[in-house]
Amino acid sequence: MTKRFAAVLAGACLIVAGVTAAQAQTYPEANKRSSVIVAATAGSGADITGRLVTSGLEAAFPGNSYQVVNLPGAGLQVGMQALADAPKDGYTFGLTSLPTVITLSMDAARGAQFNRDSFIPVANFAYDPGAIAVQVDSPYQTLADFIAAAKEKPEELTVGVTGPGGREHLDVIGIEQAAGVKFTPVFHNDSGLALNDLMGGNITAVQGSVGDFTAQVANGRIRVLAVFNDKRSTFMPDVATAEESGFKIYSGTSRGFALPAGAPEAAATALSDAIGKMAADPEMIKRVQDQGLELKYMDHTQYGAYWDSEIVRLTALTAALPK
Amino acid sequence: MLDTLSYFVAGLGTALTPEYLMYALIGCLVGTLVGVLPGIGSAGGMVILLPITYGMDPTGAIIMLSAIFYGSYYGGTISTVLLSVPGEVASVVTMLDGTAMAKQGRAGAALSIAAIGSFVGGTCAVLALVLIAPLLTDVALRFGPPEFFALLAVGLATLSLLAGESMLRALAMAVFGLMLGVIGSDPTMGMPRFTFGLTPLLGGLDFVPVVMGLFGLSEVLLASQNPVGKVANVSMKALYPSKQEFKDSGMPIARGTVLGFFLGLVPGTTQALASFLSYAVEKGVSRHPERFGKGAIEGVAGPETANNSHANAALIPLFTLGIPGSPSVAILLGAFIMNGLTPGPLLFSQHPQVVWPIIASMIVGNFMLLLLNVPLVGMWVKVLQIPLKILNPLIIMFICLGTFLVNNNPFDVWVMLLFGLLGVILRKLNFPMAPLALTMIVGPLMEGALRQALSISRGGLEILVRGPLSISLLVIAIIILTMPLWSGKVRRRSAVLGADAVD
Repeated sequence: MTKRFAAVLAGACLIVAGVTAAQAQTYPEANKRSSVIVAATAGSGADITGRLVTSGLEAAFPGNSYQVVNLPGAGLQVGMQALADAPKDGYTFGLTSLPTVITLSMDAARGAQFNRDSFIPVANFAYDPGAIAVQVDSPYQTLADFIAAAKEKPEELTVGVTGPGGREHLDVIGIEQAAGVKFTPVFHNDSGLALNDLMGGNITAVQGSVGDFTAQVANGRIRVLAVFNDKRSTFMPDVATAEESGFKIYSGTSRGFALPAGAPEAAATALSDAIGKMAADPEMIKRVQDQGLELKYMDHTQYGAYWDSEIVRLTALTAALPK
Repeated sequence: MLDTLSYFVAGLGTALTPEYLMYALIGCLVGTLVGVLPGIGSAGGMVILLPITYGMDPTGAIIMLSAIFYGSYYGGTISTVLLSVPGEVASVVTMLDGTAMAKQGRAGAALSIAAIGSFVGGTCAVLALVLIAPLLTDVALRFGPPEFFALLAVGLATLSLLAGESMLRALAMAVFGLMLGVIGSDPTMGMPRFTFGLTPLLGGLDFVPVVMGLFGLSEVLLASQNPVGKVANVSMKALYPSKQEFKDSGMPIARGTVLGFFLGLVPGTTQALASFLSYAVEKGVSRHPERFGKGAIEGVAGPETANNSHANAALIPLFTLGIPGSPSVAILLGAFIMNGLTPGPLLFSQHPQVVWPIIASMIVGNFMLLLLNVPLVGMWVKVLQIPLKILNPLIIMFICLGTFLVNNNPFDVWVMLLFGLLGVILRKLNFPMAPLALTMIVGPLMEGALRQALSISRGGLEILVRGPLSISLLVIAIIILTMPLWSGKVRRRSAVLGADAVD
């Protein structure tokens, strides 16, 4: 009796083991619930993107559910740390904003316990190219005008940026290095308040992203001098790229997804493929454009390569930060 | 102008359709609830409920979220007055007199006056948005870093009016508040300051858990150690304000409306700042400042009006410039963008069918909140009949829950517990809490503005007095700061050394 029971039990174990092995090949398993960490408050730009993609994933994998978990705090650091420490079963992944994830982990003083190796890049989804804007009645019509003025008056032109050492600040350092000029950065924690200072005539320019500026351009209050991308923005086709003005500076904020290191490779490819299909859907493209963003899909490997190239680009710029 | 009015009337028609009325009502109810629950304020409430609105009809979604936004300021008063726990941070200053009124059995009167004041302040601000918003665009733009710094200097100077019996203790707490405000990353160098290696502190010490601990938890802990029987059995007559209380509230409501309104126009200010300044103004102009802190109705009427007026006025820079003036308004901005709408002047020409019903529904919503709040005062007051041994654990549970939900981070709960214990010690030593809350709000904003101004001038201090606006604000700050020295009225009250002399 006991023997037979043991045999049945062993058999059952084998079956269970076999089923698990088979399932490891297929990702995602049926009716699983995944957590998607978004290191920003609900309603923020990153959160809106995150929720667009999770709703797309629910359509792509019927029966599976994707729960956005908002973990704001300390820039992105609280959320990114949580992602690095998350379970490695492939059912917890997170929204990653490059290059902020990189600049945070590069700043030794912040003591971030994660770096490039803590994450498996999944795919990039949206992109918002960097841009620089002045007041609409400013004398500067082009990036060249602006830089010529900075050459004449070193450190006199003030440029509003978000935090010190953040992407926008590093963009300004990039322009300084490329053109041999010096600006005075003015730090705002909030791009809205920086725009308020620009429109009130307190600062000369604001370095931000196309998405920060579209509304105020439409309102006729500001003028964008240049977009830091390899092609013109669909939102402001009349604005020249920095490259057209002779400055090969490419910068912007991207929103992609990553798994914690140690998660199954199959999860990364399956999610990457699903996001790729989503990115080709005209309805999705329109919804992303409604948020003032460009859809820029990079698959699993492309996103990893982009991540690596950003690290190289930013290492050179952070070296120039005041210590 | 006539165009605007006809659009507004058309919008009102839409807002009054049953569907949108229901959205507004749900928003008002939820707003009142998040306001009542300690810790979750307007921003927290909207953040928690925003995901539900993904996929809803845009107009309905925004009507509901706006109602949560302004409704929470009504709800915040209820727990502040009845439970001595700030329902949300903009109500902190209401504790000073609101809880004293509750102990005298005048909780109902305090709540009714607060609801009426909130209604007046909120509605006036919305009407101004409809009628004169284009004229006010400039106000936000006039405030550059130097002017903002000067405005905050006025805020800081009101400390001299907030000090209770002991100026020394008040100043000690003010400095403590400024020190807490320094925690976080340096605004221009990015170096972490006093973060002790704790990642959540890199973004600064969050105001909500500190306030919930110092004001909320400590009060509950002290009350359970030393239960003071609150007056629970109040007659219907005592529920509503007396003629005298109505009379005393008129001017504070008017002043609170104007003050909150103008502060609301300045991006970067918060509702809590508006209520603190209003309290200071009321105490400053009162003929009987000694009554403040002991149940003066003016100390409830002014601040509660000011925070609602501020909340609604903060929508003006949003609608006219597309700039969110406060963290809660930024979340509302997110809701607009999520629905493919970009707030700014163009919104009115491109999407009038969306924007006017939203604005009109704010008037409707404020009416609903008045109707919900005043008749329900009797129901809310019944909360006091719950035995303390049941009520207090419930309150503590809600404080923990509310503190957690804002960032989904247990760290905030630890901060709240720590400051709760600290609050018990400080209260036992008779340290006033209000100066700390004020400087913790003002300090980081002031530092940011000062360093922006000095970056712009490359170190020259003359930028701080660059124009009539900043100069006059600084003069006002000096007048308020020195008031205890030359005003006999104030001197008699704060007795300069008072309790310090006895120590």
